[in-house]
Amino acid sequence: MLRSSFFILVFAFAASSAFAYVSPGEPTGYVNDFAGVLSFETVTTLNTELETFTKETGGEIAVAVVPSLDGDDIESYANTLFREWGVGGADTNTGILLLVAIEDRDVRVEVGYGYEGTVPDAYASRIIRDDILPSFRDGDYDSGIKNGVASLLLLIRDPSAVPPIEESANFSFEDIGFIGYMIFFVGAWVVSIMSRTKDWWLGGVFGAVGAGVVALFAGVSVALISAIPLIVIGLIVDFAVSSAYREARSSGSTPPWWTGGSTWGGSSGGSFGGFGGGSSGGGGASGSW
Amino acid sequence: MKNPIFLGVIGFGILVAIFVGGMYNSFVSLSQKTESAWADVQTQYQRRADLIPNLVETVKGAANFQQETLTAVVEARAKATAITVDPTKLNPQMIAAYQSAQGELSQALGRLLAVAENYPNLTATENFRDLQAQLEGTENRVAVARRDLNQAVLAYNTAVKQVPGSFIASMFGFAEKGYFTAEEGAEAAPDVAF
Repeated sequence: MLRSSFFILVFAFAASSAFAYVSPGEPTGYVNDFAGVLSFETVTTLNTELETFTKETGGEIAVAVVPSLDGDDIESYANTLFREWGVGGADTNTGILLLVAIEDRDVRVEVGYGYEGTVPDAYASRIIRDDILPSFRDGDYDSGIKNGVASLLLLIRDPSAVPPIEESANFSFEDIGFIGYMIFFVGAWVVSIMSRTKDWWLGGVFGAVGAGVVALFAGVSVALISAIPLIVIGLIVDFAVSSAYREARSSGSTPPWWTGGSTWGGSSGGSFGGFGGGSSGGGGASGSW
Repeated sequence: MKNPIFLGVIGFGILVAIFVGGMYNSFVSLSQKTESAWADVQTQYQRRADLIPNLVETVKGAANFQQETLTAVVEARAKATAITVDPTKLNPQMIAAYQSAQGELSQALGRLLAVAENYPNLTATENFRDLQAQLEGTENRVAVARRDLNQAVLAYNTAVKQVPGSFIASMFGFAEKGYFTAEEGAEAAPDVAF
């Protein structure tokens, strides 16, 4: 009895661990030591070096040291993390992720699509075997990672291999920010139309159109469910802004901001802006120590 | 504003047209995604097949290497490369046939690499190690491409089979697509340490 329940427990653990990926968190720089095994000096030196590399070539090399893979295998963990962080440019996919899992004693160099020609699997494997693993076997993670990154940089910096990317190509809107601005401006425009019309049925039409837009992005079932509340909200908003606008007009004062009278912008900042949105198809090599 | 019923009917008609058009477009784009994911799967399997002649040559060089394992790999490769799938017809039977042919090659390759472990003078060479790294890398690319395909097919099948969409899908002939299933041994339990 005890035995069989033990086996059920083990089986359940094995079945769930096939999808055991747990994100280590957002990247805070090029080098991310979630296990706390690297020295401060290594992290800052490598961060500076890798930032220079990105400015020069447009490529991105990320280092992640995690305490454990939580039962996942290093290949799928590396690929999932690579795509989550988006290492490398979104169009060029020139990114590399050096992943080290301390407890599992596994290391992987995951190569983005754009670097598959520059860093073939055999070279990635040699770098792991010859430059990284010997130091790791001595417990010296700082040297292993420094050597590995140095070899990768040397391999990529061969000028004939990687054409530099122009500064202008690096400029892009933050996707979420851009969509947010779009929603804000379109919303302000719609509200200003609604408030200037005396009737409030137009709000219901805008609600219905909104449901149609939802259908395009989220599918019809979501849109059907959201259609009725959207139409009702549209009617209420139109009623509110129309009467507020009319009252303001008749009393001679400026209409309140939420009737579309004025707009304002926001700002964003941060020292490390995240990676470029690159992807990987599982290229690279793995090793264990 | 004179005839609210007329306006209502027109508005409803426009809404229905937007819904049907939106659904149709989403099916097309989801289907395109499965086709491009399938192209990736085939590219990665082809890449593996291309590595094999080189591997066989290298292994042959090792003194009296077990002949049957080599022959098995060459035969499985010939079988696997003979099967191609039209990306617009990703039905479950085609995927299953393709997977079983490629699975035979995977097993033959696995045996070859296992036998090679008995020849230390072979496995110590840089050439063999590079080939092994390339093979492992390709197997991993295959795994990623298959996972991406399964995700694309899941999104497509869900859209095509869910209730409002299923009517429109059958109207325009969007059929269910097939998945890759987990390979024997691939779902082996990891080491559990208490």
